[in-house]
Amino acid sequence: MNTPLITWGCIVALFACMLPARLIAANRSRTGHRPPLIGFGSEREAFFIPGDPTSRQTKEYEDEDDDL
Amino acid sequence: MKTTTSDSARPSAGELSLFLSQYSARLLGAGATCIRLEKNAARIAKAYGKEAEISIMPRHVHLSVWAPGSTDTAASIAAIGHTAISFRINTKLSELSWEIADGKVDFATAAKRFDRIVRDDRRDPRTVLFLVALANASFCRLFGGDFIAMTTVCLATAAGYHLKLLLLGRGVDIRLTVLVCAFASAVLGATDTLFSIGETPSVASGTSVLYLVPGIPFLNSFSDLLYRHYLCAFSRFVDALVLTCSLSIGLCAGMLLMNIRMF
Repeated sequence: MNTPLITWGCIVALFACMLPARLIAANRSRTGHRPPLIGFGSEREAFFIPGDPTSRQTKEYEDEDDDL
Repeated sequence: MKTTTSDSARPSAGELSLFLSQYSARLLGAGATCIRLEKNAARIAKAYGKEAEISIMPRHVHLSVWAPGSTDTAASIAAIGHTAISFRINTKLSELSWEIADGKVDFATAAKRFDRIVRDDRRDPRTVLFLVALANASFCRLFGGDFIAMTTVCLATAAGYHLKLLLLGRGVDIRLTVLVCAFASAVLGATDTLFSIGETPSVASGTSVLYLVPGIPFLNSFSDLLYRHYLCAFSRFVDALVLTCSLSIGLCAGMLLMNIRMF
């Protein structure tokens, strides 16, 4: 009795599952590496505001400090 | 004004035969008709002062090239590749034949150009998917479908075409792919009927699988028939017929499961 609805639901569910999976796969292949789902970043990554010195610049300052 | 290539730049019959066999196989694989192939190959051969005769079989091309009045003759055979129909390759290869005939490119350049045309046939699948879905929705409109039916057909086509790309990319047989895609699109196309939305649900159901109809093989088979290439015509017709049968089975199965009585 409910065959049309079940069939329709199965097909829609199949595509609904397939689309995110494909998008994730495409994203992975584009970036070339698998980003971790959960991870611990450095303090700099968490609190970086555009305009802050980058780690490279900081290193340069540190070098200068060493010279002094 | 047409110019012919100078003697120093002319390839031998063997070189030209090899080039033409690859050219012919690729042109046929891209969906060209037999008459186009005959004309293009004869044009190229004539530009290099040679004659060419082609025997076109459903899966192979057999070429004989010779220089009139000399013993420089060669024959070669090439298998026709199973590639997607591409009007871009078709056009570019025909342009190449005209450039050779007009003396604009020498043989070495022509060979390089051929490689580049064949290698660089990149199409963005997402753009193609979008355009196919849009085209099928337009077909729905042509058959009298309302906006809701067009939207349903657009989504059913996008889903089906996406599935087609996925299955063909994994090397699944084209007949099975067409059957599965027709089934999926038919089920999705029956959304309007299932939920009683829109004024023309039957048009949405009927037009949701039109993107799978092998129109170009059918047209090519009739063109070959007109020019008396009966073997190729029959082969292409049967190929198209098998795909149409697969489509019909998928569509009927979908309609049966969705309880749609159209006939």
